[in-house]
Amino acid sequence: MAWLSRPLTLVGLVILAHGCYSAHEHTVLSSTSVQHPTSPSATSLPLDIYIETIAATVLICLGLVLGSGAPQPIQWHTWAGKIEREGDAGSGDADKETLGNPFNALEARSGFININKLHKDFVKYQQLGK
Amino acid sequence: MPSLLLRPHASLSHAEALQVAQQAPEILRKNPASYSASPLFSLFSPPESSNTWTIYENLLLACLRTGDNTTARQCLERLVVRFGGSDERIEALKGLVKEAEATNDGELEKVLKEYEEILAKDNTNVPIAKRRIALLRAMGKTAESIEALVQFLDFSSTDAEAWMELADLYLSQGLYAQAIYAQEEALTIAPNAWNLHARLGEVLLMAAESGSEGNPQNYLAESLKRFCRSIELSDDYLRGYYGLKRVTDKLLAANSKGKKPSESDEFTLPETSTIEKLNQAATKKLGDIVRKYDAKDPLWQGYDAGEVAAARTYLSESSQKVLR
Amino acid sequence: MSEQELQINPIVQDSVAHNTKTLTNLHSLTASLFGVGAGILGLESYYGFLFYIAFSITTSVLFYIFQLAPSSLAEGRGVLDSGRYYKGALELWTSGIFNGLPGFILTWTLFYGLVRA
Repeated sequence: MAWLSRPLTLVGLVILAHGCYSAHEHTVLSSTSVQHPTSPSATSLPLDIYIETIAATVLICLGLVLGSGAPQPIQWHTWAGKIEREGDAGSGDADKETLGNPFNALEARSGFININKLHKDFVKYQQLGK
Repeated sequence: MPSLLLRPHASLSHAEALQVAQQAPEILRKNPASYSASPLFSLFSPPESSNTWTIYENLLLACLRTGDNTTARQCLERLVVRFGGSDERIEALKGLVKEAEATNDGELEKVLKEYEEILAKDNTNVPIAKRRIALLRAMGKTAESIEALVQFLDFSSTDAEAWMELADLYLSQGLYAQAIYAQEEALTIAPNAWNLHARLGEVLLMAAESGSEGNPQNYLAESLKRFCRSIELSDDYLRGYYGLKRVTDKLLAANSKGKKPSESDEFTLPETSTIEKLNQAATKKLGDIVRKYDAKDPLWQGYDAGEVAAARTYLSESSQKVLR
Repeated sequence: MSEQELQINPIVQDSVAHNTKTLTNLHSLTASLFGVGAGILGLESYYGFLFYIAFSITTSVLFYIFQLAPSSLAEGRGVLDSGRYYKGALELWTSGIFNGLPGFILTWTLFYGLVRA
């Protein structure tokens, strides 16, 4: 659904700009026209401009809502369950700081990494692969 | 795939580490060797984020793991250019590279000496202190390593990572009571870490199975509670449910043998009917998880393939037992 | 929620901040947009504010329908229950109205002036 966001917003903005222009032209024309010098121009916009503006507003609004990004669950167990179920794919945004379970670092213990053992294991793993 | 690059390196499998290491030359080529503070240059170079440096660090570790020391050196150089050679974390990484390049115990001893010199000047240098402990452990001096770690925890008692390392060290020595204590300390620092709850449950289960010290029933009861807490904190937590099933199976087997749990126990076991219910819930959930994972449901693919396989075999084993 | 319940079922503060930010961003963006609309239509006094309140609530409803409802209903919650993502129902339905009001008035007066002048 998110891909609809930009096109909808763009189309809405174009329609809104058109509505704005029409309203402006209308007031300019009616204030200079000689036929109705007495009618108050401010209250009598044509119906189609009303419809155009409101439709454009709803369109842009819809576009912005669709593009606003998914909210995250706030209950700890739902949030954690989502991470467990979906893994890295679930977090969605690429710009997020943490991926997967943020407490995995405590079990991985990068500060105490034993690089030589890892390397030896890796060599063994490669020999097994061959 | 950037997510592999950002995960803590030690949690990667060998295949994943290889994948990361193979990306290293390309990432090094794509990113500039140094980031200029001038706004004019920053217009033309890729943006610098905190992730950039996490990625470099993980690349460094992956290259060392796969034995590509020259690329590792390049990553280290970038980090040195950015943060300076005397930064605590960079010093630790430098030491790590030296450790990886050392070919015999004599050279490792030399690296250890260097660590000790740095610590003599500034004994609050956390990354170096951790490297020293890790190196002692790697060289097989477990007792010294435990001693150093206990000292380290005296002044830095809120370091959950260090408590977990201590628990692991004790566990490798078979000292379950101490391992459990260290693990509980880590949990007081991170009370909502569901994987630590499950890990403590596993250690307690191991302690009960070894049966060397204390009352195994107590360990089982405590383990049951830990697994329950871990799944209370995280829906659909495969590891938690797996542990829960194992513990309840054990407890039910013990009960059916007619061993009465002594009343004076510190940890009172719940009713047998409750344990049975928990067991059934765990079986059902494990079945669900395995089925959904196998059905390639896109929302259920976060599990580790090995863990799912273990759950599958355990489930089929226990269902065979029921059939008999 | 009592202290004990919070200990048993903690709240993820990061998610709360993320959700509030999403909603605030959405409301400030749309509020300026409604100002443009109200200015073009040349609304005055109460009609302008009524226009704003009506559209703000529409935005909240749209946000609920498209972003919250699918997973919220799947979890077995009732219709219009936002408990999965927001601590209080008011936070979702009314907080946006006050957040966006200054932005609305700004663009409303601006476009009123532009179109009518």
